[in-house]
Amino acid sequence: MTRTITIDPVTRIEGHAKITILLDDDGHVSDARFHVVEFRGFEKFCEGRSFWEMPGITARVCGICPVSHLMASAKAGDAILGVSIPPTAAKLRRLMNWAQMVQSHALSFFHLSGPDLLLGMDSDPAKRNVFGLIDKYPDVARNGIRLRRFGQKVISILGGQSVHPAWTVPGGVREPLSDANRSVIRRMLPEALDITGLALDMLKDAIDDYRDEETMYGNFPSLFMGLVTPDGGLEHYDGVLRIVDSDGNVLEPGISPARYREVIGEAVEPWTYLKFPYYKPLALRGLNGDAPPPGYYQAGMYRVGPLARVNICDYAGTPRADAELREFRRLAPRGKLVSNSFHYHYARLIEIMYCLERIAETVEDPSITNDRVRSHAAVNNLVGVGVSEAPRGTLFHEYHVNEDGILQKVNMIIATGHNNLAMNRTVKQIAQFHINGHKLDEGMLNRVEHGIRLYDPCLSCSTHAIGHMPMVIELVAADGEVLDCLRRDG
Amino acid sequence: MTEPSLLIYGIGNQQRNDDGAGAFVAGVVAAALKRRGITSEVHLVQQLTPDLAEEIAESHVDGIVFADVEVDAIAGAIRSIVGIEAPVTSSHSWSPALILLVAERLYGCRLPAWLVTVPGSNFAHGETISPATHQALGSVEAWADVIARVLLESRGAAPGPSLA
Repeated sequence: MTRTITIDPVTRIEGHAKITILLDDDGHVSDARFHVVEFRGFEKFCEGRSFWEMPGITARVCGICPVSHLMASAKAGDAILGVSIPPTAAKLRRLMNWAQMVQSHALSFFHLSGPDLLLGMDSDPAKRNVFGLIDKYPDVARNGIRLRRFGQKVISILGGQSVHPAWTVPGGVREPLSDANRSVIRRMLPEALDITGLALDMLKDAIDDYRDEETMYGNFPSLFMGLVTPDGGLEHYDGVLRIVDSDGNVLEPGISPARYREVIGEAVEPWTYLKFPYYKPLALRGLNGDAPPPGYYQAGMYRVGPLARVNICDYAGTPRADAELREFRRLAPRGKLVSNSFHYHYARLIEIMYCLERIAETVEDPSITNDRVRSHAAVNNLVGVGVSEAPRGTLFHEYHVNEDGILQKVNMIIATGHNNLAMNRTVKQIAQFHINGHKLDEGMLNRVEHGIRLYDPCLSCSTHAIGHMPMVIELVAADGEVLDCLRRDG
Repeated sequence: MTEPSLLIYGIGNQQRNDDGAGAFVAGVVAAALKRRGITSEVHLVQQLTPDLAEEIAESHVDGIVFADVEVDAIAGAIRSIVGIEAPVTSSHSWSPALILLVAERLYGCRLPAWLVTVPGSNFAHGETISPATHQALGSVEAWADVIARVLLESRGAAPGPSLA
């Protein structure tokens, strides 16, 4: 029998990521729980505000990917207005969205995961960090910064500032792109493309060293969800929702994102503030209206983000990204999806390449400097849903307003939330491989940390002062006794 | 001779009450330094990220100030953070000292740098700053004197009069 541990969320301090590993009576890992601590209340905070303010407000949910919230929020606002935004505005929004993918993925790959990947998972912990990377591969460290700065610079050019640009608004964008600024973006592209090509080569050269990690880091079947274009291409801004299982069976070929509630449910547990989104048709199958049993939602687990997006699309649509995608798909048997979360790293780099190629193509579009960039209207619908792909996965903003556009209710599903179940299962899988006896060790802590980092989760970025994500791992016996505890300060 | 110049980073989320104090402090410090003949460029950031190391290296300024809020601090403080130890983090958010160390190790850039902090206690959603946090801003003129003395002396000029 396994003792169930309930941890009172009120005692948690925001910014801590706590992991509890539960042992059964035989001392084997029976479960692992990744407790995410976020202050609830953001959605409540927004009630009573005007929907016009929401892009600016929601951009502050995250310090790394504010643009994602700008996009989803502005799209929800578009729906409330009942407008189609000018084509140039849509292209400009996409430009900013792609730039954000580049900067966020660059940070994740080069600086957060780079030390593990390039220095080795079992290398000296004292050197497996940014300084070890600088010592051994200074050019790689500089390249990562250059690539991130490319993305930030494009965002700043378009929006006037790289953090929380108040440029994306319901109806379109505030300012067009000038010829001069288009030239600036154009000039920066070759270096960014070169850096990405080098990073892909470096990762592919190192992949054979990580066969063990492929096996144990999130290697399980699941559904995958994301946006695709109407004809199945890789998509980050618009399109339709597609859900596919690990065997390549398409469960939802293309549902309108505004209808997401028909297929996505949200479960809650007392031991974490993060909700558990799940695919309803699978999780509720066979219940016929009966009360669902505990843990029912796990049957509807899906992954989002780079791995999901490159898995579910039929093609990318740009030459180098498509070539990389074909090579990537050889990691799985023909027709099946790449189901190892370890390959989020690879997927991230493919997406950077795709986004850079799309940016290059878009800045050559003659209409990109048109000055008609905003549609104007009043409230025409009392519910607006905006969906966009954030670097970490699909992001939903749903707003309910009154006739004056004042928010009555807000619901958001953030990208990291979708991956909650998968992150928990990944931690459990790693723990099952590495826990031996009743002690935790540094190596275990590193592995778990890396397993979580695969998903590049956005945790407590919203509060800088106390959001440093120290990590605490507790090993708990079947009778509830805490056998060991490891802590790493963030 | 041109005026000395600084880059000031105001750190924090202005929608999380005291977490946004860094932005406020940055503006107040910039104004105090201006009165002492020092120009500043203020950048507001929700958190510090690695790319800021290159930004600092390319900035051609005479010094860097980071303005932030600190949990459990009692009063405001200023400290020099050049060359201090910086624990390496695996999170998205870096410390000022870590940014400076990377600027030095990767770009050979070493500048005078300070961290000014005010206490914070309320991090719920909101746009207000606690009275205790406000009170700590009483030290801003003293902070500006410290910074100005170092910068102006390094240029061989005497610090200007304080207007406190």
